[in-house]
Amino acid sequence: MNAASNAAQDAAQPYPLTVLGIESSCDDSAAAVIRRHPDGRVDILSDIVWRQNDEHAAYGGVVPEIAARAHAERLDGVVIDAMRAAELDYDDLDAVAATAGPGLVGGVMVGLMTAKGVAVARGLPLVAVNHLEAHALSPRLTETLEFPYLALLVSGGHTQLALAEDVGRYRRLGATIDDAAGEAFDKTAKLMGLGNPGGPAIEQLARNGDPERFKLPRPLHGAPHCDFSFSGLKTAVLRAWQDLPAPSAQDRADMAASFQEAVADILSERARNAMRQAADAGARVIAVVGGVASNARLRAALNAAAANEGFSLIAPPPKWCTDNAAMVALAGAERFARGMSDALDVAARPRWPLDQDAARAAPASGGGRKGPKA
Amino acid sequence: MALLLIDTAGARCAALVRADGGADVLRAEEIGRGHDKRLAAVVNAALAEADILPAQITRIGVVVGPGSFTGVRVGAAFGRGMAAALGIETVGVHALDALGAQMEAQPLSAALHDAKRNEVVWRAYEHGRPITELVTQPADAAAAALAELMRARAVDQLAVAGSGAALIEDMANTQEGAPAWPSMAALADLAEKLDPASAPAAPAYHRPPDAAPMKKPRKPGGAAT
Repeated sequence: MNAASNAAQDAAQPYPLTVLGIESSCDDSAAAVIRRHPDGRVDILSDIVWRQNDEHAAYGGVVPEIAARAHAERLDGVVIDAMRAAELDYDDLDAVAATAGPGLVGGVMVGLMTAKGVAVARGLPLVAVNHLEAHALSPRLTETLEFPYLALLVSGGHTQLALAEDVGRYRRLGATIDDAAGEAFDKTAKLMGLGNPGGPAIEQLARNGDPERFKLPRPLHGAPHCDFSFSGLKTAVLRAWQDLPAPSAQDRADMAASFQEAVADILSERARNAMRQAADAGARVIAVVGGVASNARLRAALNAAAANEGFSLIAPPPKWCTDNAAMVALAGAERFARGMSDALDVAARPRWPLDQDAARAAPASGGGRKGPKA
Repeated sequence: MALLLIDTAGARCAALVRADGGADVLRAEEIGRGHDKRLAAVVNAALAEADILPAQITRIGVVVGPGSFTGVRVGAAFGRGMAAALGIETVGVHALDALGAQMEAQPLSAALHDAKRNEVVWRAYEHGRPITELVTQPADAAAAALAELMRARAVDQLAVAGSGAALIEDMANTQEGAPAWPSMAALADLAEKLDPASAPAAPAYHRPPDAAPMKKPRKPGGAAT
């Protein structure tokens, strides 16, 4: 394997790189400035996030057109705030990076166009960042993490296991064939009358619940591969919930705990299969990233699975698990250090698999005009 | 002083640079869609031809509507991104107001945009100055409102312009006033005059987003079938 050593990184990046990152692929308008040093250390100089939760509350989920409008109203202000908080001038930047997909394309376009405006205004290189790569690299914001490593990416839109071989090079080991884990959290929360996003609400409720009270399925349990399925679990939760004529506070807590336990089981079992494959490629670390990675029960289950396989688990602080622009800026810096930047005609992409060859050859989900998701 | 004006609201992807002591430099491409991919190159080409550096721009005008949601967002996001990085002001120009200004010789005029679904976005002007709000309504209701305005002002001639003008053409006493879309020069004239505080570079959608609120929040324990 082509494990990128620190020495190789030094050669690729002889001096610190300061990058502005912009993120707008879902319902958070975010901008951040980071400085990546040749030894891999990262200073997060600013990190501004404007969350749109209120705008979408009445709709029970994120409405793409509302999200796009909200980004267009305030993203430039978020960028100004991030530059001010970093106490830098645009001349201090080496590049500007923005999420160019995958995501809600109206919002992605706002962020990408804002970045193009900054690039034209200041003659800066533009780096179009894959949001999934930004998540996969996010542990490198705060940790020393060398390639290759196994990344478990769990968010509202994506659930996949990938071997991170180097910046820009990922091998899909498994992906969900239906819903994402975060989607299952959100739909369960909606069913139980909790708010959106559902993950934190379920985790909170589960603290006082019995995880064994409801017998929920673990789809694909025992399968030798690393793919996921959550739709059967979602249906089982719906049925079990409907069987409760008037759920008590304890019923609710037990349901949340039982559901959370099932998700943790599914993810850690699939991760175990992936660790065995990744070990053959020289990986000894599993990094869990994405919004669902902030779930403490999941972290504990993965920690146990990793220990059994001789792996260590890296889980970034919850702040860097959910969508943020620091990870976009870091992905931009890492790509730029390797000579990767993008022309100003680069397009926003609703779908953009991490491992494009695998997604093309055998899509795990998605297809048609938009193309495969993973 | 140098103005950069961006128009991505319609089929055209255009940039105009107007600097002190120089003639307007215009770059425009009829592309239909894909403004997000072309805009940066169009702006760079206009700046290069005008021999103006981005740092010399003092104001950025953006056509905020009416037009495609995506188109107006692309132009506004790009213009605002540039302005943020240059520390300069932006101003939002409404294409109907520029059409109204192009009809300033007329005592009473109306600019109408075909908003599809048999609706128009319209505004009335007196010698180029707006005298109504921007309204989105069915074409026949707009025609009735304009007829009422003519009666109230005791005028028998109404100059009309814009892509929606044809939708009220059976109205009595209309006359052709101006084209379907304003010239870049007319948009730039307006961009120079407007106050950024009252004309922000914020997209004018003229329709709420297509989204239905949840009928009622699901109560804990309620059937979710």
